[in-house]
Amino acid sequence: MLEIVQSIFTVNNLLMMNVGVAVGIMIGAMPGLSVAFAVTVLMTMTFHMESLPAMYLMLGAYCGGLYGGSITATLINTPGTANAVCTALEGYPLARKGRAGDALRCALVASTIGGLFSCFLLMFFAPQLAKIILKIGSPEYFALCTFGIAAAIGLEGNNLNNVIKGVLSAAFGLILSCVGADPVFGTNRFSFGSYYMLSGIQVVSSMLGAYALCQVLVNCRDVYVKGDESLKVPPVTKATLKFKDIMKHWKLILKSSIIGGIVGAVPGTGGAESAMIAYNEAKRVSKHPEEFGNGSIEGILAAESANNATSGGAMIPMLTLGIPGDTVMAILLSALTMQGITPGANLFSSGSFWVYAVMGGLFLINLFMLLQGSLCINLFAQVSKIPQSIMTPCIVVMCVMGSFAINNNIFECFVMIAFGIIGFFMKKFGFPVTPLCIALVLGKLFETNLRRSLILSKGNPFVFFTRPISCGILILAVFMLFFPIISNMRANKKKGKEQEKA
Amino acid sequence: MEAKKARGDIILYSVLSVVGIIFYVFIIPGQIYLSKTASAEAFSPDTFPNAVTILFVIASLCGLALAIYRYRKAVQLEGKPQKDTTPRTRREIVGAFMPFIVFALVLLYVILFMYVGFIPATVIVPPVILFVIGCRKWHYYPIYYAFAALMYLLFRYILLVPIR
Repeated sequence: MLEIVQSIFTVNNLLMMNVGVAVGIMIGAMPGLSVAFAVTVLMTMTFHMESLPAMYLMLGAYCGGLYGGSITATLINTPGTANAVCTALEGYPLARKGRAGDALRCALVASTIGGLFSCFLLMFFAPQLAKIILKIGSPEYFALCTFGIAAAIGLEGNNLNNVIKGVLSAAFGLILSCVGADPVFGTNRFSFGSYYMLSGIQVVSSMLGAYALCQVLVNCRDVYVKGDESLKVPPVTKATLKFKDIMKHWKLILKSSIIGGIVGAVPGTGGAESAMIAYNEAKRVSKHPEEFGNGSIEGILAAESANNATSGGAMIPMLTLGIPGDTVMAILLSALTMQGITPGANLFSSGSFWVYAVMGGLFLINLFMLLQGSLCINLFAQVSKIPQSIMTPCIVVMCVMGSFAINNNIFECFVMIAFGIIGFFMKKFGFPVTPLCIALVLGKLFETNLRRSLILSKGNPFVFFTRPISCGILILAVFMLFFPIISNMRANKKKGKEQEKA
Repeated sequence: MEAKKARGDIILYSVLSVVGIIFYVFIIPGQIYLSKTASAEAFSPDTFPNAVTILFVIASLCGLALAIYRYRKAVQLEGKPQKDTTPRTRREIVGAFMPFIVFALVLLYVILFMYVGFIPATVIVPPVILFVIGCRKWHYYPIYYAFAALMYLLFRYILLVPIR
């Protein structure tokens, strides 16, 4: 234990945590740039670092980015990230009443408590889950991969057309994961005569293209057409609410954190969903539901604690199963793999040093976020003024340098560019990018376990349905795929009936 | 509006179906060479790509059928889609091509990086991108150069990436 504490408390680690948090908050505060973008860009700097500071840098960016979105959501009614949509509903009306400082303090305290709670959740549940995981076989692993991909598709698909687009996106990701040597026979697949293609497509360069460069291509049209105006961000007023005033709502914060942690642990969901669920729940049980939409403190506390609580929750399936729940986890998973660490149950059985170091780091990162948010909130608010135009060439340079740094060869830059244009067209035609990335990350695991299961069962495809756990997971996967469509249809029916009555 | 969207989807899914079929018939057999041992196995190296491509084609055909149904339904409700006659400014027309112009410049940047090196490419191309997207504020250019220099120093001397 002492060894873990000593390895966490080094100057380098603490510095990386703080840098990660600061960069995460800044990028989160810039409208149009996502948490995934923050983590992807920072990941490019970690290839030549030691594994622990590298992970802390990215975890810091993740947690900071989750909180950072609330700054512009409160001050200018523009959520920096999708996670802060509910915060904007309550934070902006409060800011218009001259209480921006209060809104931001509530967001910060709730985010920190949510983040800390999720650390405990991770500490308690991840080792337990890892013990169970050790007992499952290839069919179950295959079912889990299917579940992860289905959840990513279902998340984006509220109608049948979107689900089909999600399936196509995931299928494309799975095909791309086949590039390189076949895992059993070593046969070259889709190398097109290129030496570089033999090792497959690097997830990192593809994500740099699909998230960072694609964002440049999407934004440049707006910059050109609408002109280059920086946002007018009002100064942050002094907060009048004290910590003890916020903590009067401790039950709400705890409940929302639990919601965030549980929702985050389900693959395919993220901060935006958990914030929305916690916000609606807070509104339902509130003694003052009329305040919601007009600047409710409870609304901010619920949304922010839930969206930050997803951080630890989302790490549970990633660390124990090696299955990323969302895009950021997919990026973190590929970063871990590049550092030579293979997530999965074995990570827990072989000493667990790494796991507890991550948990401890996450705990400290949340405390640093509280510190930085309290001291530098005005500075972070000013960062959102940076115009998109100056960001464009800077992001391009970062993408090119970052993709080059992966293997120190220019081929990765071309892969990054290719994924940039693929991501752009996917966005243009309404295809979700998340299933592509998750399928690309899970592809090898998916294929290997499918093959192993079929070999062990002598080619019997019903092996997945005769084993209760894998059958249960596959049923859940189908449910995740079609649940959004069914719930959307039911909501539309209900709306239609209400309109008829009216 | 829905009819126009559905018509776009019909074209899109048709193209994807054709691409999937071409991939299945020509690309997979051409790009996966099967040895005698491998082809004798029930699960050979091309089984998974074939299965996923079949899934891709089926999903595209389902999307196509759905898009045709949506189009017919929308035409019944709102009539055939009309051509968009809203006048567009020159800036909006050029703006529609801007992502492709920027993409071409990024490609040029990487090609220059490959042939003349990182520093000359970084000095020339990204500022051109900045200019092309309409930035006329001169002080943004030194800001960009300062950022690029900082990044170069970070990658080259701290992260020890052999970037030249």
